[in-house]
Amino acid sequence: MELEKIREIMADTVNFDVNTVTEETRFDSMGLDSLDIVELLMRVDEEFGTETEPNASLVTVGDLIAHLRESKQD
Amino acid sequence: MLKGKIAFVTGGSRGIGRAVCLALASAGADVAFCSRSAGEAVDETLALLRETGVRCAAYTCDVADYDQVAATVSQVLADFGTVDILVNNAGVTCDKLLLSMKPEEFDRVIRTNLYGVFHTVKQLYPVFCKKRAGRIINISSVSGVIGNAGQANYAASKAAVIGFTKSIAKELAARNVTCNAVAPGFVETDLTASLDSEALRGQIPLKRFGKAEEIGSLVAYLASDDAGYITGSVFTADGGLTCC
Repeated sequence: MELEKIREIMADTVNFDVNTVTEETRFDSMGLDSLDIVELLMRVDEEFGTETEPNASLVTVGDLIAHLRESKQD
Repeated sequence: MLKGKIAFVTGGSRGIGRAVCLALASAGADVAFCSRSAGEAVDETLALLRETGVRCAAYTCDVADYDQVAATVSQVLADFGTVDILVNNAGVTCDKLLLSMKPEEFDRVIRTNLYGVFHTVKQLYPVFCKKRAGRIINISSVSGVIGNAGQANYAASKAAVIGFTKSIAKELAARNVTCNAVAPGFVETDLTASLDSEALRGQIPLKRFGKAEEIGSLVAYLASDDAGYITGSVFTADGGLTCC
């Protein structure tokens, strides 16, 4: 469910073929610049009511999903 | 030149801010402006703007207050649909030698002149990012470029605005958003009314104070599509004061 939502947000914010995005997809493989990442995370936070700062541990889409699940539990 | 564009100008009711509003409107932009308090100056500016035939609205907002800026920008976006041009003009002075400057007098000037710019840009940053377009024009001052005795607080705030401008220019260049600063010298406004003197004019190569309209026209140019290749620059408009 999170993956689907993240795909939707990506389709809206970054110019990327979101159909190829899986939990294993790395952010650095998408050709996103630092502003793209911040924009993406801001939209994700709006959607999920979370607070996510760009950081080195957010490598893949799966990492972001894990972070969102953890934040929900807090 | 600016038809179909929407501008938001802080400190737009008087002086340079009013001239900026009118220059943008004359070029065809719809204009939203804010001022710290409502009053005659706001009504006069609105009346002048209406004469140009553009859509215009005034908002009361202290740019030093982050929450007020957030609420005002939200309202402008709701009323006008978007913002294409942001002009940060709101500014205050509290001139005195540092020896007698109280911490709150230093703080007040920094809070309005520097934090005010941060507050508006912070609010409109995601809007400009998403549009992949935008113009940010920050009104600095020659005081921020060459310093001025009795204006340590004001000069520090205006120099900081230049650093801020250049940084945002670099951050947003990839989004086709430009950010520039205009550094006026002595301009005929309420702020400088007490300063106009023969001695001071003598130090200015053009031997006169500038007119607010002469700053407005520069801002309107920087807001236009023609200025698309200009970003991170500081434009002095000072009658030659800083070239001496």
